[in-house]
Amino acid sequence: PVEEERHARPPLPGGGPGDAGRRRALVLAGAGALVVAAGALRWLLGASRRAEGALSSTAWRPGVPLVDEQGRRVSASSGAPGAVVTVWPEGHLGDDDAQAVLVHLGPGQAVTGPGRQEWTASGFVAYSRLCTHMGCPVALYQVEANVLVCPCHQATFDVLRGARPVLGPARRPLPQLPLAVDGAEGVLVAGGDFSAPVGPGYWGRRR
Amino acid sequence: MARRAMATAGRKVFPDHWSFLLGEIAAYSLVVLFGTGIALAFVFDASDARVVYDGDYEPLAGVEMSRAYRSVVDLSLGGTAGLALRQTHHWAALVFVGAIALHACRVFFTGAFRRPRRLNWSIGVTLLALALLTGFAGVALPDDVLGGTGARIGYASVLSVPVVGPGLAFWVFGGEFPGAQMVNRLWLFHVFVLPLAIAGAFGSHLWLLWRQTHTQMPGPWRRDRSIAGDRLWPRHLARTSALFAVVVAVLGALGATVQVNPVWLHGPFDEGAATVPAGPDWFLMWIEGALRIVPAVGVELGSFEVPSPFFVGVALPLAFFALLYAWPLIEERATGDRAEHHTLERPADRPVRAALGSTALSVLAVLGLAANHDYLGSVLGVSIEDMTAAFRLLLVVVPPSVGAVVFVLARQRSGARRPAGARRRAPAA
Repeated sequence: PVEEERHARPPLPGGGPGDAGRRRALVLAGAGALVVAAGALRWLLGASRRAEGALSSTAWRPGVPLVDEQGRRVSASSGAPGAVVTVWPEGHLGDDDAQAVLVHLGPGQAVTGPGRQEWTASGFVAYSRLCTHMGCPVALYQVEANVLVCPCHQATFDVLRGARPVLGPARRPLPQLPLAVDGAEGVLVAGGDFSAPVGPGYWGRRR
Repeated sequence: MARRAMATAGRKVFPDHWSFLLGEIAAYSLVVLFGTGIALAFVFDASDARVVYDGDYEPLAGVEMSRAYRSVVDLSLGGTAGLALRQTHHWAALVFVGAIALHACRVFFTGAFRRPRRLNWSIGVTLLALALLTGFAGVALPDDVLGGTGARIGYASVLSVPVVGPGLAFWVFGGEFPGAQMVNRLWLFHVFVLPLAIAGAFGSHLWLLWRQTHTQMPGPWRRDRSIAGDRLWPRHLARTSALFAVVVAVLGALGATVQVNPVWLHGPFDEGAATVPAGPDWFLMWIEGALRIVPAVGVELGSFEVPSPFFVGVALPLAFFALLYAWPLIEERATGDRAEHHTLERPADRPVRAALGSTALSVLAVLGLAANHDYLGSVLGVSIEDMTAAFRLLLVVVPPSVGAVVFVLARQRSGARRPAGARRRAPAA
């Protein structure tokens, strides 16, 4: 190993901060950046309003039949108590924001919710499958406790109480999908869109 | 002329300490990342177009997937070292960020970020942030359930930004999740935008290091005016070349023998799919853990809201990095030391800095562990509810305790090093 004098560093090119011309260039560049940023912000504000419009609704409409992953309609007399099925609006199979979880309640179980007495049908209840924390599909169902659990951060929703969060980082219940039975065919249909915008929260969600 | 420049360069002196190898390990991991990444780019199909699997892997027969996913499955199970290539790339990323983190710790605890190296510290912090982003984008490229779920978390984080979140999220993803051409967009970030930024930042990092010369550990005969070590030619170059070979060998061995991210087991990403356990690579677990255990705190302002993912998924990481960027200025304010330094300090010479740094590291460690609290709960037979409560307790109790212990130990150690009978200098705090 050797030891020697550290050489004095040559000054960095362009002179120091006392260089007036350089400072002016910096100020101009800063002003230019501000103009660009202001333009970008204006565009972002408009884009956000449009995005919020898309986020606030899904493809569910009154009378649209529920279909499973294979595209088959769900009969109102099918399924066993405790069964859970992922459903989509007919014609929109695979639409990310429209996915819903259909739960067949056990005998004597009812979902309590103000103004939503008509929202269950034949012992079925349906909620949005997108977690209201960060949007992961709430894929785990604990039958004994009647709770849906999100695999990402373990947000837990009580199916019998309007899917309100009972544990974990979610703050809002899973939006509920109103259900009805199509008298003619005995299949489950939606009564309208979800009770609230689905998925994670965003600035203008409550508009 | 070029010969003289090379001769001058060859005489440059590089101080020698084992901890100085950490930065080099990071650099060589980056080289492996570029090399394996370029090789992967030839076989990866960055397309979201849907296909039906008709290859040899039975469990996926007839399953619909994106071309991206299929190309990764074919590469992994195809047989000609494709899996080794993929896994070497992933291991190199894990080691890259680990080496940067350790190197940053060395720089922090020895005070190497002080003048004239404050700018280079900022470049280093930027490199860390870029590495995290690049890793996050990379895991989503195979378009499997785990990667796609990670992309969802990223989407929800951007969405949660006040006022402009929805516009920003739709811009990044090309619409409402999963957006238009998600894999392709992430691929462009992971392969062009971010690597270019990393290359530029890293080049500046090395250039500044070269100009300013490397710092050195204190010793009885070392002063700020002098530099002691080995010349670039031949000793230092030989040593660093050997390290390069070792890094390549170790990463290659890991990639060839230790499984990481077996995407064919996860299944292709599809809107309804979810997987348990779900979690990111180790270097993002501090954010994931925070998302799990920090109580949901959202803010409602009339018909507007700032949802909780913003505070934990966006504001927390931004605050952490802001603290990192600001640290040299904070310490300068606190100590009043505006002199240039080329000699490092022993970590114990600065008990307050050592304690604060250890506290921050233990916060990251607790949060990182909390990212696996569902898995830990199932292994220990403890409910999620209790695991969450336990980790919240740990988060409040462990970091201050660690800080206090480190402070006391450092005080004792730096006290013991002073020769008996010497006059006390100004307290090193």
